[in-house]
This record gives sequence, C-alpha cells and structure tokens, in this order.
Amino acid sequence: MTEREWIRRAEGGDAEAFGALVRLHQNGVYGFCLRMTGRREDALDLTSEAFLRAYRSLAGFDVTQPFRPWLLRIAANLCRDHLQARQKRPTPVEDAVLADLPDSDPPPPGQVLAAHDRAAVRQAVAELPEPYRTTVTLHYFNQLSYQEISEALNIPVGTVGTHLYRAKRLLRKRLVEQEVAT
Amino acid sequence: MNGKGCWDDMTLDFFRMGLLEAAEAEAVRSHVQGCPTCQARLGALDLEDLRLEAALALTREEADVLMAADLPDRLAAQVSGGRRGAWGLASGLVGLGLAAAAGLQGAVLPWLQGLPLGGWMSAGHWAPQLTSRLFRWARSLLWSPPESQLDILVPLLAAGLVIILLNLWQRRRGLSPFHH
Repeated sequence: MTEREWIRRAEGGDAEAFGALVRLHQNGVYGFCLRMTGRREDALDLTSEAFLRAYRSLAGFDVTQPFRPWLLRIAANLCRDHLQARQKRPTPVEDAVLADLPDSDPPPPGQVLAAHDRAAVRQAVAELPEPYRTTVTLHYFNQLSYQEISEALNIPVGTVGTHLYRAKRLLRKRLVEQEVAT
Repeated sequence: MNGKGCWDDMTLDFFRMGLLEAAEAEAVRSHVQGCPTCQARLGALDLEDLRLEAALALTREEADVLMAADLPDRLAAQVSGGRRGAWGLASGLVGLGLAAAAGLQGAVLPWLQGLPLGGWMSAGHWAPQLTSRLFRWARSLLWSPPESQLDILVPLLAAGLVIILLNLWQRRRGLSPFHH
C-alpha cells in the first residue's frame, strides 16, 4: 500500500492506517525534534503531538503534495513554540543580528568539521540560533531539498541558502573555539 | 572574487546549492574547471556536508528510545479512543436533545399555551398523540417480544438515518465530533 493510500484511509478515521504513517515517519520527526530540543522526553512528546495534529488536519492536506515536508512543518512549528516557551525571556533572533555575528577569521570549510567527533558537531548544532538549527536539521538530517525547506518554513529558497551558509560558518567558528578551550 | 579570480566561500556554496543565476553559475563553473584551489574548496564543502549528515544521524541508542516508546500503536490507540469518545459524546448529545424535547413538550409548551402541565395531552394536539404512539411502541418493545423483524429494523434504520443526517449537518458546519 502506498503512502497516499495510508493518508486517505487515515483521513477516513482508520487508526491502523494512521499507525502505519507514524511508523513510516517517526524516525524523521523524532530525530528532527531531538536535534531541535536536545531532550529525549521533549522530543517524544513533540513527536506525538506533531502526529496527532497532523491526524486532525489531514482533511486539509492536499494528497498530491509530498507528505513529509508538510508533517515536518507541523513539527517545526511545535518545536519553535516549545523552545520559545522554554526560554524565560524569549528573544527572537533576527537575521540582521545574526548576519553581524563576528567572524573575523573564518576557518576553511571542511577541515574543521572533519576533525571533530559527532558529539561535538551535534553540540555545536544544538547551540545554533533556532532558525539556523531548523534549516540545518531539515537539510542534513531530514534530507529535505532547498525547495522543500522553503515550502515547509514559508521562506524564500535564497533565504534557505543563506541560513545554511551562515549556519556552517557559525559551526566552524564554534568548533574551533571548543578546540581551543579544551 | 580575490586577486586570482577565485570566488568567495558564499558564492562557491551557493554554486553548489544551485542558487546562483545562470550567468553567474556559468562564470563560477568555468573558473572552477581551471582552478585546483577552488576544486579543492568545493571538495572540502562536499566533505563537510557528509560529516554534518553523519553527525546528525540518529544513534542506535536514540533510535532504541524511540522504539521503546511504541508511538505507532500508542497513537493509533489514542485516535481510535478519541473516535469512540466522540461517538459517546454524540450519543449523549442526542439523549440530551431528547430530554430537552420531552421537557419542552411536557412543560414549556403547555405553559406557553396557558394550560396546566400536561393539560393538552387530551386536547387532540399532534405532539402528544405522536409521543403517546412512540411511548406505546417503546413499551411494547420492552415488555413484549416484537412480532416481526420490521418492528426492530424500521426503528433502527430511522435512528441511523437521524444520526447520519445530524452528522452531515454538523460536517457542513465543521463542528462534527465524528470528524477530526
């Protein structure tokens, strides 16, 4: 049975079909939530909530469109709300501010990330500002294309590219700082 | 672009991503083909992408946590239970509606017509006559066995039709408890 058929059946109230959809996409949604929040319990809660919200909204989903970006958009919105609620004083990070982050001597691409272990890279990703972390996770973990990320986050494709470029620049910088600190 | 004609990191990254305009992309491509330095930089960017993908992938331990949570079955049971709850709510609302209707015709309507409670039961009004028939039918069903299959089928079909019509009406208003 195809994903589209599972979706149609789940929309009609078939709990088994909904369970099949969860089975199909749970790794992607859970991994995304985990990389966004850094906490397993939170990630599990958010994953459950994302699927339940998707189930309730299936009637409004266009089955001719890909399901995964739509589902991840729900997860991304939930994670953003969760992270904002977690902060005592939420401070939205504007692109202009992020663009002005000091980067006097950026290390060369490739060499820095290659030299660090997975845990250090994950930690550096976890410390990225939320919009960059979302873009990086959707692209490098969920393997969404720039176009799909653009549609999921409702931002222009060029902005996706800018977010990814700046995120990697920040990652290189932070990994170098970690290395110096240790 | 520096003195050697090499492009900056951002332009190279955008070139890889396919985000440059056609003319600029062609200019970068023709430069990279003859520039070992830029070829190496592009290779480093590709390697960096692979490292990021590997670093962000779920570890076995993280995947085990997810498996232990048993989300597919748990969530399927939850939505299934939700639907049962919705049916229960709908049944309750129907019961409430019937009770309200009974109260209306037994107390409110007679009061509006200036009659004592139940005073119009003998006034030839259609509502009490219909109610009386329904009560007689319900009593015969409860205290004596039905004489034919129609005695059971007709009321059940009528009740089902009422529920379906109510559901369709509620769906049109987007309020149906049967529909998530």
